[in-house]
Amino acid sequence: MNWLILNCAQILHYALQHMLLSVFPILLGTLVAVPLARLANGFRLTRSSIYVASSVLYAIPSLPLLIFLPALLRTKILNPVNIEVALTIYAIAIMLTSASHAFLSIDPSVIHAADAMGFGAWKKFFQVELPLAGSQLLAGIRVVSVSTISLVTVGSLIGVNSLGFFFLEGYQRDFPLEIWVGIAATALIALLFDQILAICGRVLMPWNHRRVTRERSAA
Amino acid sequence: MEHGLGIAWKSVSKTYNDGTVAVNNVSVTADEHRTLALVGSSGSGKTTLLQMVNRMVTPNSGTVLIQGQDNQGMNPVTLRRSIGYVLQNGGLLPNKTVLDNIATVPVLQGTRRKDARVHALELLDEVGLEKSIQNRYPSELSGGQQQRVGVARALAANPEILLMDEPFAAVDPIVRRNLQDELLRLQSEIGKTIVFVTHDIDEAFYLGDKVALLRPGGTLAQVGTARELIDHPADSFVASFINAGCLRSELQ
Repeated sequence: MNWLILNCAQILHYALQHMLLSVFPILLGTLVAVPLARLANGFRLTRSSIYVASSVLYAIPSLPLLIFLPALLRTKILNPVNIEVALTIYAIAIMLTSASHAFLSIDPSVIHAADAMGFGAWKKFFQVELPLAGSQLLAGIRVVSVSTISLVTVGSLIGVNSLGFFFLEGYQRDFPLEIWVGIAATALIALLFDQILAICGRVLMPWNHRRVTRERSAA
Repeated sequence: MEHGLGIAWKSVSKTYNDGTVAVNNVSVTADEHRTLALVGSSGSGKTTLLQMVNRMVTPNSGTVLIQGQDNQGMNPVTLRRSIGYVLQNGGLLPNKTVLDNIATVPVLQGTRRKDARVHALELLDEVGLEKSIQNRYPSELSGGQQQRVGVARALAANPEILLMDEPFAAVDPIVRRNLQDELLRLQSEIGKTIVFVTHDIDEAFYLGDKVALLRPGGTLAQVGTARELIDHPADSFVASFINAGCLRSELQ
């Protein structure tokens, strides 16, 4: 317990570091995967190759990737860019499949109605497809978020520190409490991000929640 | 009919990629300011004919003239915005409120959202809906209300042509009769050129100034007023289709 109090500042520091390292891959992975999945859905061949691509990307082992990336990107091994790129690749891998499914899940009659009303392609994407795929896209982003937050810890192995530092140090010092603190803090961050995303979903997509509220109030 | 106005299908045919013949050499006209009912069982090509008007479907041969102009020469997006379209399930956008659904096409055409909403509110009244539902989402409406919103939305950009694809098929018979009566009342005020697709011959007779009866396989069986079809059916197919409808309404 003493350890916890004495190292409070360091825990907070690494927690903050952890969050900063997580945000970028979640956002960039989503921004890349969503339009890519929508484009690929347009053709049967590209749609099926998306599932293959995402499996292949996700199957890349993380440690070799982290060692290999500096050579490829011509970055220093300690540069946080390496871990950010690696995590973005995993985020894209997860998000591609779920985004593809999200767009396919839209009721075709609504798309038909939008076409018949005279929506152009861009307006249809932003005003109809994106909002209606929204709840499934959000489900995908939530998985990406949790996965990224847990994967950030691997960065400690190559010197990009986050809460993963406590796993490494706790293991080296044979001090389980430190490992448990790292795990608990990581889980807390994952929960926090997940709740923020859920709230964003409720604010941005009120139509998904209105009827439920009504039914509850009627019951 | 004033010559050349309204909508004219000229020897149109459509075979889909899977080989289904939807429409086979059909010529028919929808007179200006009148209602043409396209009636037939499923597979008779009535929806395909309707969708040729706003270029959702392109015929393999033949032309569709709108006010005397071949619609193949028109920009599809502009054309669609200028034609009202009502679908069976309302076709409302689930992510927009009632008011924004109605305002959709005027906003696409560049009307300021605020102005479009003011007009949308007037339309709510015109189709017999309470103003209090304006901020609801489609999922919070009954089937009949959704259809009314669908009609209001189709009218919002003040189109000359209204395409209605089995708009009242999914509501119960009492609400359906109600909506049919309201459509007749509305049409007597606004006088649009309406193409109304239905599989129900009674509905076709009730709403159509002119009725075009289609056979399975997408050929035209007979065109005329309800009176003409009932008194002088062209063949046994027409007679039996009408009789089946009469029998059904007697049973109801």
